[in-house]
Amino acid sequence: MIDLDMKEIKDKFEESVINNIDKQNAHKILSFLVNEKCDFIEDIISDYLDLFTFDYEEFVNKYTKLNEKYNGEFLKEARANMDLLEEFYY
Amino acid sequence: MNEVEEEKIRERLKDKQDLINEAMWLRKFEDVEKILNMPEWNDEKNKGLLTSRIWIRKAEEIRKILNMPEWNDEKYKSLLTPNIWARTEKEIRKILNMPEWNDEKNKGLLTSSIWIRRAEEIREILNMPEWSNEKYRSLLTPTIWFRDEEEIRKILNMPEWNDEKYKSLLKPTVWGRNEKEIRKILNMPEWGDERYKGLQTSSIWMKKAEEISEIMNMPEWSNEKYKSLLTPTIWFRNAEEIGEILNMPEWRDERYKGLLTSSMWRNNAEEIREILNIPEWNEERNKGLLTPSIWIKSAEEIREILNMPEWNEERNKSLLTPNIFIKNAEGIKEILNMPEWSDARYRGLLTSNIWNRNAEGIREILNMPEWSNEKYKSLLTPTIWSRKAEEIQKILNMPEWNDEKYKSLLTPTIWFRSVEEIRKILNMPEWKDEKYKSLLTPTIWYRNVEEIREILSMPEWKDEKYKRLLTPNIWSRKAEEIQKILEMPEWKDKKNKGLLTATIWTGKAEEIQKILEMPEWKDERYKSLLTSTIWTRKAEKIQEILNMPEWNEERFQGLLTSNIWRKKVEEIREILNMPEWSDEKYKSLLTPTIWYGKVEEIQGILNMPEWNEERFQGLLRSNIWRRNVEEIQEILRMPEWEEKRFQGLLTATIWTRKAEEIQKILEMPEWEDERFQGLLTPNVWARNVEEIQEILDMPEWEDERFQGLLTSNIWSNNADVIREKLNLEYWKDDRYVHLLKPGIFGLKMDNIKKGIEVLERYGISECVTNRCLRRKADDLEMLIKYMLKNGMSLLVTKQNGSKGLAPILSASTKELKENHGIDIKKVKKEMEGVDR
Repeated sequence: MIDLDMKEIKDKFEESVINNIDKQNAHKILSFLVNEKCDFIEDIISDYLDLFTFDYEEFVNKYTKLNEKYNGEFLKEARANMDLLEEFYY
Repeated sequence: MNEVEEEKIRERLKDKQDLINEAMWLRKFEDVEKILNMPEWNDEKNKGLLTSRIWIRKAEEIRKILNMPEWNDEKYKSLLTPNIWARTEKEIRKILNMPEWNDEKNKGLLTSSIWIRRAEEIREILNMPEWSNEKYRSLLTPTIWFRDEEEIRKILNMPEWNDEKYKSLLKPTVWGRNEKEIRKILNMPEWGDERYKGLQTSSIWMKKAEEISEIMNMPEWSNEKYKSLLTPTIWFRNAEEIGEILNMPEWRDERYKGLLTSSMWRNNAEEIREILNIPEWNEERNKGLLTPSIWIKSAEEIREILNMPEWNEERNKSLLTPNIFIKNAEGIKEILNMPEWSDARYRGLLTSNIWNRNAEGIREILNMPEWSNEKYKSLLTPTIWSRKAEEIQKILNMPEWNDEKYKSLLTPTIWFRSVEEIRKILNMPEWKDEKYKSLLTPTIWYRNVEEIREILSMPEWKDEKYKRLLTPNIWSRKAEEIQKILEMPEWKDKKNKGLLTATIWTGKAEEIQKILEMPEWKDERYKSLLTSTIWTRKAEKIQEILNMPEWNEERFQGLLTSNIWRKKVEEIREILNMPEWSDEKYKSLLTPTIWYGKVEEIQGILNMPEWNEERFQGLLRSNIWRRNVEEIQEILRMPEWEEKRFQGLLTATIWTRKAEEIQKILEMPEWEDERFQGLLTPNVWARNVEEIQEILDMPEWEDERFQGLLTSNIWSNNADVIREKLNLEYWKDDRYVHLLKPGIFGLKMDNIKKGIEVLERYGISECVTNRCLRRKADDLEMLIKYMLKNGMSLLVTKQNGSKGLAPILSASTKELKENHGIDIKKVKKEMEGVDR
């Protein structure tokens, strides 16, 4: 069960970001991350919520490229240094 | 008369029994014969005068009266009624030639009831000094002839009229009773009973005191179901009739229950029975007409209307509504058969509110030259039938519409109000107040000036929790309703706060109460359904939806969300029972967005042949329910999908946009610009064409510093947000320029500023990372303090020799715990203790 502080999320992210999140799309991305054995999903949602505004297909494409760049260790690297997630936005 | 003569008369009048009375038998046989044989009865204007009252006069007198030249004058024709036999020819002439008729105030009094009085009496009454008193002037109506001068004076000078509660009873109908009777009625003890207070109106003068008492003391009024029938219209009937009507077995019939209303008192028991037993009520198309509006018509008239052949025509069927009974069959026929309805421009106007007008009035409206003016065309809608042509013209030509701030108010709802009301509303000083300006929208025409003022001055608007309810849709409710809703105790409970949104004005106070009190909300499964979207439904229907057995099936459970309130029970059932849901490939489409669609549309979409094409398969996702088959096909068939640069845009997010908009977006010349080509990703559907244009037109993109920010992430934000971020002062400072990454747009300004401020406080701001700005500033500071407290360095030296933030400040919570031994939750508690 993911524990979220909604007030914190609303304080941190622009309203247009929150409004742009499609539940089904977000759910698919989450499922993808779970499948990829991501164990810091709560951090991603709390601090990188805008990643979920990407269309699922686009997210997967970007992830795949980044994972290739980081020799299949992108999530491990990002876990230690979440700043790497900024590369998603390119 | 002798027996033989009597027999002759009886034989002659066997078909006109109503002419026979005592007075006739007192006349000589020759006289009666003379009167009956007068050639004057062949004249159309005299036919109604041959009644039993005629026997007061002799044949010669009758002839003189009938041949008076005065009857050729239009203004006297209506005076030729049987009442006239009460007066002689000399008297009649005297009355007709009284100079008093030249006085404007007396003109309406020259009616046939005048023959009750002699000329002297009439003169006495007309010259009473009381008529110079304004408060009595309205009593000078023809009914005054029922009383003589002395009686009139006594009545006018009754002290009872000084009592506030009786003032409104001093109306012309009072002349139907004498002073003694009036006093008896006003002083009846029954008026002390709360149930009867509403009955004290001027129609009471139709009845004698005994009759009134008999009616008010009927035992039926203790029965709750009859209380609403106690209205002034009851005075049309006597106690016996009322008893007969209330106890009619017909009221047991379910179909007639809604008809037991006070408007039925216009009819006696026989008439009511006749109306209720019209066989036409068994026809399906007439069932909806069984409403209290039927009481204004006789059974014969109702049948004539219901059996009009015009109802067999498809375009007329929807016009058969309860308000049709304000018209007669002839008037209805005239309207339905107007040739104007063949004109495509007018067809949409043929709706049931047309019954407010007659054919002539309708024609006058349709032929107004104003409709050729482009700016008025959209006003020609069915609501126009509430106004006459003359008024419509006055409204359209009001100079106020030249004023920019009022232009948008000229919409079809304006027909609910008269010219005077519109002017009064537009000139209300309240519109100068900033907090009310936004309420001046077309919905305002639902209310009149007094109501608007009452609503705006309600003290509740000072309360924070009610302020946001002051939106234009408030005008759909009356002040009384609004007050009731705002005063509901449920709003004191914090958990109901989210329900207080402007959608609440779609419901009535009573219904809102019922919904809030539903026991279903205690059930965990249904709690999340109690949202403000629920106000569009009635409690009964909500319960019906919640109790549908379909929710026991696992595959449907996720569909029970608050957007289900868009749908009726029947629709929900139809959708859930579609055979398509047994097919594996459609199961993922069963999400709450399905409530946006109609059954026919959903089926149409699922069975589109386009889904067999590989390039479209990924598009069959549940957000497709926002679009209909036609739109989807239009989108999928766009030639642009042949172009490689657009192919990546064909994802399910496309369904947020309409076909027209997608076309406009794809046709934008900006996509030729190299800088913008990388922005052509599915994210673009998050913005509409105007927003995309605004973003791409921003001059900031000329600045080299910002060009790296032109990535598809930009579409998650609107132009204002992007502009705000690009113009932050920080970008002028070399220490922070490295933060200019596409991910910066999603964060709130406040968070960015506070994050930088925290690092500045500890002298490490030049090493700030975007990841830092994504932490809550307080949490960032807490972590820094913890690190300092435990002797950890905030900075590290990187491989290239430059300084960077310690990895702890960029790590995830999981990483902190597992590889740095830092449990963020415990650290928070610990540092909160230190701060204290």
